[in-house]
Amino acid sequence: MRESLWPARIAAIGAVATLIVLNAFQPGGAAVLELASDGLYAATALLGAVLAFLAASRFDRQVPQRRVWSLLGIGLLLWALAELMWTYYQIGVGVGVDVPYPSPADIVWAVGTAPLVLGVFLGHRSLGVRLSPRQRLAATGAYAILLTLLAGGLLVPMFFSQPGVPWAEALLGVYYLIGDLTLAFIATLSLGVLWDGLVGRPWLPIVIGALLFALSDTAFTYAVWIGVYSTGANLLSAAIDVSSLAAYTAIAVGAYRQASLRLPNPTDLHKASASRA
Amino acid sequence: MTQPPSRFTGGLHSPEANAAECADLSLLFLALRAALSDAIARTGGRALALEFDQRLEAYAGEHAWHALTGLPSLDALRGRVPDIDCRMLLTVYQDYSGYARQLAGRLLGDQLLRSVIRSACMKLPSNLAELNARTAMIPYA
Repeated sequence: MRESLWPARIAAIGAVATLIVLNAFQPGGAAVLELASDGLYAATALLGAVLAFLAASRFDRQVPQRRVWSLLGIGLLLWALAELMWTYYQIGVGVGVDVPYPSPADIVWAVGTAPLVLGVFLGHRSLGVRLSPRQRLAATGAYAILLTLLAGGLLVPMFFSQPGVPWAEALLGVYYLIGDLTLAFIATLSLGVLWDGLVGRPWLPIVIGALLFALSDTAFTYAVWIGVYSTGANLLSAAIDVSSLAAYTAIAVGAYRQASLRLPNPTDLHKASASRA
Repeated sequence: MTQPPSRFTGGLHSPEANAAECADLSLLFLALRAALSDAIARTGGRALALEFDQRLEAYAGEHAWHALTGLPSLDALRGRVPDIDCRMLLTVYQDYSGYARQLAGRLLGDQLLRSVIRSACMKLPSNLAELNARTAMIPYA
């Protein structure tokens, strides 16, 4: 596979643009939109899993990065399975009828987060490089602020304003937020080490994807709590759905970048060196 | 009876000392190349490491490796040590080492490259570490 990012970029932008257009015009109504958006989630998660396994196959057996990308593939595969289960619930239960939340699909999502976090953790540890204290402080500070904003702005008011918030819903909201942010935080540490190298390229989309998941999952928990989440029914629901898809596509792009890493042409290298100088 | 000065060494080293220096310089260069190639294989995959090796071979091919040493490729260093003036060989290796580090830096990034080089320097046997300190073939970052 040659490293040409255009096919991946076009596919990613095309998938997200399709969902935006479907949300805006809703041809065929809410049922079609639900089916299309669920299909896009499952397809991009599955594609991400396949690309992550492909990336893993490019490493020798004893190399830790092979395990890292295999774990990312397993996590994305579980998330694809969760998306398919969610689709079944949405179609099976029927339009206009609430899908249970948390549902069994949430258990699969929650389980799928573990190999993803473990994968990025092992990936960072295998680099064997410690960031400078300033870099670590900046990353920790940025994520602490983000956690405070999302938890303090959405989850905490939700839990304390009404005493009757179901504990499972609350627990899941916190788990998703912490899981997504942990994923983004560790991926950011790896990006901090590798940012100016070719091998760092896969980590930027993965960081972006994990941050989008943190945002959309927390907003989803909040929207379900205030009773406004319904596919295509309002701007908040559309924003949550589109950012979820953008998150999946970003992670798939990261896996694609890893699977297709190639040295630039010597002429490009000389140009880059000249522009640096 | 003493050996006549080698035509390859300009009379500064005995042929034995020159050969030993060439062998050590070659080992040092191979250690750097192996460390960089291994780090690239660990972070970017074996195909990328293979490309790195091929690019380094191509660079050596374009920069008179065969004409200077008589060896067909850098890989041939595993089986044979060049029999030339060790000062000239040092200049050649310093040039190739600079290119290898530049290329590896583009792949690994500055921070990881420095870590790999530091780790490679620490693993050198004492005679090669001393040679590296003297020649700065692998600049300790």
